[in-house]
Amino acid sequence: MANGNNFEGHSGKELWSSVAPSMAMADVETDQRFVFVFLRGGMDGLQAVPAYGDPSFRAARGVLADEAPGAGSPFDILKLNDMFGLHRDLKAMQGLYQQGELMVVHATCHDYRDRSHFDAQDAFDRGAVDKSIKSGWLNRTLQALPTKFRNGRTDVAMGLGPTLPLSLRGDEAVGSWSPPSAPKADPDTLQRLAALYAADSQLGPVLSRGLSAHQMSDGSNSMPMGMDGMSEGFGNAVAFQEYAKAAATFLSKPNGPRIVTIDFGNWDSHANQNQQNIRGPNNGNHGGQFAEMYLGLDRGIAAMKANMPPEVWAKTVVLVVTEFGRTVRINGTAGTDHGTGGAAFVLGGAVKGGRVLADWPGLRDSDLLEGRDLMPTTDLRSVAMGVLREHLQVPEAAFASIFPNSETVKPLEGLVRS
Amino acid sequence: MNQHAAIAVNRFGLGARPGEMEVAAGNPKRWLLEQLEGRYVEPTQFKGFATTAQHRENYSYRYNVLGRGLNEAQRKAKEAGDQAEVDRLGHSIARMLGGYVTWVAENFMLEYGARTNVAMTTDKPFHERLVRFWSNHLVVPAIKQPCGVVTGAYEREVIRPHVTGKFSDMLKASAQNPAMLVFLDNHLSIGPNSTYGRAKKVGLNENLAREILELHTMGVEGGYTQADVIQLAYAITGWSTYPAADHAAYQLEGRGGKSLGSFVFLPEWHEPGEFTVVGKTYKAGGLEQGEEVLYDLARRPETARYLATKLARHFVVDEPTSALVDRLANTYLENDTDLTEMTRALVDSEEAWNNAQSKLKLPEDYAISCYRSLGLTIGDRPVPPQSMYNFESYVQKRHYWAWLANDTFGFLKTKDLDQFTEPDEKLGASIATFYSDVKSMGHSPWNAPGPQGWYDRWSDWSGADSMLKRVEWSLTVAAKHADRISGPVQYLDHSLGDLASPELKTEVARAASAQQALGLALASPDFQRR
Repeated sequence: MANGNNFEGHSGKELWSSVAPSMAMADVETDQRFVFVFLRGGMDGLQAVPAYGDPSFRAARGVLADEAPGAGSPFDILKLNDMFGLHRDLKAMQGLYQQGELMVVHATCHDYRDRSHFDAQDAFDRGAVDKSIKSGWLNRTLQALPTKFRNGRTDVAMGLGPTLPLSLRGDEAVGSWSPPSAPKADPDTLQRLAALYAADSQLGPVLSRGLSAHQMSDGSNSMPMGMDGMSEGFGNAVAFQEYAKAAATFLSKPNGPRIVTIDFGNWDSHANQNQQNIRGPNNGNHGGQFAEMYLGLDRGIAAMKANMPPEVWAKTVVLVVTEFGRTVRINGTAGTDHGTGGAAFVLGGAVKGGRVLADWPGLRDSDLLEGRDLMPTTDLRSVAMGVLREHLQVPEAAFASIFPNSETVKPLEGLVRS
Repeated sequence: MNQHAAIAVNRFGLGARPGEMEVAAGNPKRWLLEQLEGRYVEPTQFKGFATTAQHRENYSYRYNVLGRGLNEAQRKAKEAGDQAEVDRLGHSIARMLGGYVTWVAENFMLEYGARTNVAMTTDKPFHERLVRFWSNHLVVPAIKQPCGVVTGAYEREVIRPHVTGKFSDMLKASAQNPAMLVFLDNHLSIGPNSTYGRAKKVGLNENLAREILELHTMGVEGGYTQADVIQLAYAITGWSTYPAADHAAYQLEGRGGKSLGSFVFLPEWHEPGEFTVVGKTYKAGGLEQGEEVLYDLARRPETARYLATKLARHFVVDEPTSALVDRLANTYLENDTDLTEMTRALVDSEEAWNNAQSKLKLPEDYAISCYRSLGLTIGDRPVPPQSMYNFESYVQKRHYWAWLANDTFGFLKTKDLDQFTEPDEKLGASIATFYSDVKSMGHSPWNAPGPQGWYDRWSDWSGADSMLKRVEWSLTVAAKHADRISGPVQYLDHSLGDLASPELKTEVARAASAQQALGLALASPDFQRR
């Protein structure tokens, strides 16, 4: 029953008082921040980052191929370089690219090669395809972080959202936060309840961390958004923007977490991926359940930067990944099916951006994995390793535990500004 | 009281209603098994809700008859340069579809309320738990429209009648239900060499076939291959529903006059030829070809073990022993996929009565168990004076409440709830608020994150924020309903029985008020577990 947290021996009073902000301040100026954004459902990398300069692009993508940059249509691709562009709803991210704060990694995937969403997500979250591993790669990363990250804070890492992602689960205790939903309870009842929870070695530490995060959030929640967030179909995109703002709040606190995760779901686009004639409430360019997804991503990233002091943004790296790319060719229903190679983003004030990192495999039929998927040529784990190594100073020796079975994978170098 | 009674009502039920612990105490095992007996009778709370076919027909009518007609008229008005008419028709379209979307949300919530009231009042809570378990196994989340409107009907038609029947029948009913077909895109999957596929150059969608193998039957470690996925996908091409929305199906000449809505097999979409799935070859044919594959998949030993593991994990322990899994799997196979027999084997196992309190209740089950312990129903839940909305520009005012359920961030503008004077609006708002409360604990009922359903291990539900939300919510319940308990010690006895820890008994006995005692009981670790 033990889960690695030893809270036995604490009285209820001590458990609850651990919620109070610590007086030992960490060094705001030198602390690195890391945000892990998981786009769940399999983002179509060739729609997010179209390789419009590839001679086979237009033929392979059919009705999903947008117009080339500068064509003058409402659906022009946003230019990055002569080969690659960004989806037309990713305007703020194009701006970050131009400022040298965003790097695209293309034709990338981790080492999972089947096409199940759930196995692929779990594999990335675990840091390994091997299902016998039960903890997440970020949780194991916490064990390898330099001690300075722990100084003066309850939680080094925090999951934003109602459920903790597998990447953060494991022996190391972590925090979590979602917007509050009930009025505060009276202190006397909480005190008595604390004693009951202190006696529970599993649930006691869990509740304690929940209270701690709640106190730190500063009410960064309940932002009336007018009509934007009304329907469930658009809810994921709107919630991402709110969590991105909350991430900025938490990361800017002297004793706040330094690693946060955000899940952004609903990227599974099997059908009618690009109904240009149907608009969501934000006038995004997709129809039906896929409306607003790119806009939500773009605005969320912009909001994260806008809600951080510049010196915090300068210390921040955001890694945006998805579990796999999708088929290069469109399917019978104007969508794309589960594939392999896709796109990822590394962005933030600390990133040496303004470039697309891709060992481009090409889009001819003969170039594709099993004749259908974008061939992955960059291991996504090498990108994650590069961020851990250069940005969070995780020693290379720890990678055997963080990413098991990755002996042949080397951390990418030069991701971070020196 | 005895511990077996407490385990029966908590681990296998939905928490004790007043008096239930005493009933179960006579013979806890018998009390559970009796709930599996007799013919299934649909609870009266579901009376009046539409069938899947009716929902589909309504949807089709709105989008494909009214919507297309209005669009066409608008196009003609535009050609004729009649801007006033273009605007008028645009307004009509927005009103018609906006009203429909709101109605969908309202219907979803009302049916969720009915289902929740069944769970809160039933004297067969074990049966209800099995419905929830299998509904999560062959899951259709509401988030993928237009599945949202049929989620409740799907559960009533596919899951409920079969939880004490054969899995084989449930699997077939699921794969042939419009909700599942639309959710996993099979209604648009066309054999590339079928009559229609060759003419229109449209093709296969392997989504449902993959999930049938990976999630519904053999499990991801069941040993099937990508080739099996494709072969099964071919075998079920043409399994569809009218009309296959937003697709070339509309262009099928001569189809317009056929009835809308329910499951159809379209021979001109079906891929010709024989297919081999998991080592067995199925001769060329029509509808029966795919049905035969499903029949055999349900009877695979891998399927038996996969289902047995999930069932044991849900009710007993995160990592069930292989002895227990084997016993359940063998019972399932020996009884031609009979779920009553597999469930009986579970209740008859020694493991079922060990490891007390080792599972964490799912958030929704936790909330329901709090209400059950107080003899409450969802209609009794008072609506807090916060979070109201302003939809005047959208649809009729009386529908606003339905949107409350997804108002996690308080997007909807704050207004006084007193504007709701109609009884159904008040009830609707309390259902939506309950839903929203459960959602804030990390669990969106009928809206699992994907076709894998909700995960079922301790670590999946023990997030810090989720636990805080449970505690905060239960204290608000205690604040409203402390008058329903006659004595804190007796309350604890009839709700948790022998599962209440000595610490909890002490704290409840020395609480400063009935409200505090109830709050401590509901929020306690003992009440979170089962």
